[in-house]
Amino acid sequence: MISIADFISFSNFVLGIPLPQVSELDPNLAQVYLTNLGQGGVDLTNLLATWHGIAQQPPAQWPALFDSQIKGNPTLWGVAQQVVLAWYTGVCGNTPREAAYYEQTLVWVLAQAHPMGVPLGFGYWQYPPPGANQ
Amino acid sequence: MSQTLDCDVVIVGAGISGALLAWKLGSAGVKVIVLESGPGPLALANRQSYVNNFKVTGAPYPINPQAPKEEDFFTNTSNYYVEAPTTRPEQGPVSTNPNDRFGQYNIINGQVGSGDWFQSNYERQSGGSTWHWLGTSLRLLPNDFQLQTMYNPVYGTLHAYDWPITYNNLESWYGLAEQTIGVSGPDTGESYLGITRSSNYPMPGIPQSYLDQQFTAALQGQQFNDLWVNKNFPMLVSPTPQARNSAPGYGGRPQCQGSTSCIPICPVQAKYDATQHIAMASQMSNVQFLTQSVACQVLVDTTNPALPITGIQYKTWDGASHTVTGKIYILAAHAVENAKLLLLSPCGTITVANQSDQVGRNLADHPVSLVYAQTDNPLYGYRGPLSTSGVESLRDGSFRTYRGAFRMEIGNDGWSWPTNDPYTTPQTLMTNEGLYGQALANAVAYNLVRQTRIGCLAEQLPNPDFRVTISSQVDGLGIPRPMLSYGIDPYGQYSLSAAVAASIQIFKRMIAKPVIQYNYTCWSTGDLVIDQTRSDPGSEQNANIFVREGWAGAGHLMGTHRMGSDPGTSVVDGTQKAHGHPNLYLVGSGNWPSYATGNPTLTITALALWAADTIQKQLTSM
Repeated sequence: MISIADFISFSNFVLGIPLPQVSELDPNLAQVYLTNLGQGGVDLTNLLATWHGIAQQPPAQWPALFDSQIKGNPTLWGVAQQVVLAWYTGVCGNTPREAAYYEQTLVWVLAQAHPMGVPLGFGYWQYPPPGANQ
Repeated sequence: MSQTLDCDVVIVGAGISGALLAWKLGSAGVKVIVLESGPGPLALANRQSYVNNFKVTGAPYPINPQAPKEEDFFTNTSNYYVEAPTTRPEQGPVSTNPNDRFGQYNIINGQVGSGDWFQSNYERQSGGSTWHWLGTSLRLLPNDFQLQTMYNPVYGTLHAYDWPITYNNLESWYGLAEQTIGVSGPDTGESYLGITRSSNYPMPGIPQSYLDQQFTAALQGQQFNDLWVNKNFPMLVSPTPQARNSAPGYGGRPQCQGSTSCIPICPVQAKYDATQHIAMASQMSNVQFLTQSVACQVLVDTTNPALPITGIQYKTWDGASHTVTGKIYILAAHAVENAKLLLLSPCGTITVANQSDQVGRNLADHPVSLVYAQTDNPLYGYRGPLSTSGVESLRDGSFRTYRGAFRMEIGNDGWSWPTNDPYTTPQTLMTNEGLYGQALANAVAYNLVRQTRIGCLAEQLPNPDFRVTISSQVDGLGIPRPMLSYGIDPYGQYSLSAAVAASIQIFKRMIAKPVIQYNYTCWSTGDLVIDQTRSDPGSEQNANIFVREGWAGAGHLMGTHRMGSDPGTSVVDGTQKAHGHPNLYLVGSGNWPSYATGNPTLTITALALWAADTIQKQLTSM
């Protein structure tokens, strides 16, 4: 049984939320990615069932349990990577990204850039990004 | 139902040359009909839908079976070119497997590998390839027009071929071209390597990126030692003149918004594209654009010793055949389609304009070496126009006797060209290093702000065996498809090799502990050893400078109907009129007899404006 709550909980963990750049995930976007991953041929059933079990344990144990039960299982680790890529790039398995959500993909935030193809303003490129922190 | 239309001037192709000629001649009251193979007219709504396509798949432009094209960006693949079995005896065995793309294609020195095929494409719709050009608007150098006279490069039977015109002949047309397409140029102008200017740029220069400024600092006082002539040449970063607006309103366009997607599409049309002049010409009652109209034969009156052209036959997308007639005919369909159309057009025992047997031959590109690096300090790529600076100081020198020159384009687009980043790095870090969570985010953030690339455009010599011929395979309208043979001659290989060395030299100034990864399996012809001896070949692990295997296409299709004063060895004369026909002009970079290193569009523009002037004078005398 796939639940949006498990998907958001897993996404928060595997993406390391909160990040300095991203304080929380958009639940509406989570629903989009959950749907699109399913349509894109990514079966989340076993991954989220495993995660559901891990999430019952104290959070301090989650990294070790993730490493042994998910990263240690090539199939589940592959599916977990698809979840990460959905949030990072908007591509969900075989489903291309949706134009409406293109600007919210994480790679642009982490690059301290803006999404390619989205107008920003004249001349900003002469300077480092505002608050450049790398 | 077929029909016949009549006008003064028939133009085939609504790309930049065709659009400018229609606009110029139309403004002078000439009755013009333009045949465009692809769809149109294309307005703001099309642009927005293309931008959305780009966001979804990376591929903005649809493929049409009636006017097919070669591979599009990223996922929109279409194999339009038929790849020629090699015929050159020095080349290795040819695969007989029709599905073997590489094996069927031109093979250099017996080696088969990725990159040994023609990698540049063009757009078949109103506006042509200016939909996805970068906007770089460099002039060619005075010596570029006289490569043979100045340097006499010779490799076996290959040698250079001088233009029948000089830089000084073209200088005022360059100025007009910059005004016409709206070039923002550096306040200091271009003053390197013999370039002189009699006019100012119409707009101030586009600001150099933060990344460019770091390159300028790193290259302070740097020289490139050319091993062929054992001489040092300065490495200077120059701001690039660009046909995008630094000032709002010029040409009706907005200021550049730094969308970082000039290729494949500018979302706000701050960059010039030919739809601008198509829109202006379309307002004129004497100019008519016929879209979805694919030219398939140039008709000639062989009973008249002067061999005048009498019409252009074309097919509409419904398959019906039509004819358009005029006094003067201009082929402006780009290097591959111009050659294809001429070779499909009988003229007695030969084909139109082909008494020299040069139609389709000397196909060239500016093969691009891609060297990319992760620098020590963040440079903040993925921001601004795709490129705002280059190293132009190595585009000419005595080394051109032995190897081609190159220009270096400094990219503001991170690793998007060589690796399709920023989309690739997250996957790589998960796969190779097992990262997730905050560690993954930190690593992605650290890497992306340091990803930088240099693309070097290399110079080739004309090679008659690199050519467009006619395939027995046909497109969706039954028109034969072009068959291409192509490769990189030694002159071009040595140019690429030197470009790789120069790029590595630059990145070594920005990385304290450089580790270089080479991928030269497909063209390890010996020449690269020259430059590897002064580099530090490293392992794949921990590499921070990467040399991409083979070369990329620049999208600069050149040389299939070259200009020259000798009708025995060239297709058009110095006025761009075809030898052997009184009323046929060919325009575009197919006219280039040598290729130099400058991006071709500004020169294409200057030549088109000059041709419009010539044709107008001829019309008044008819």
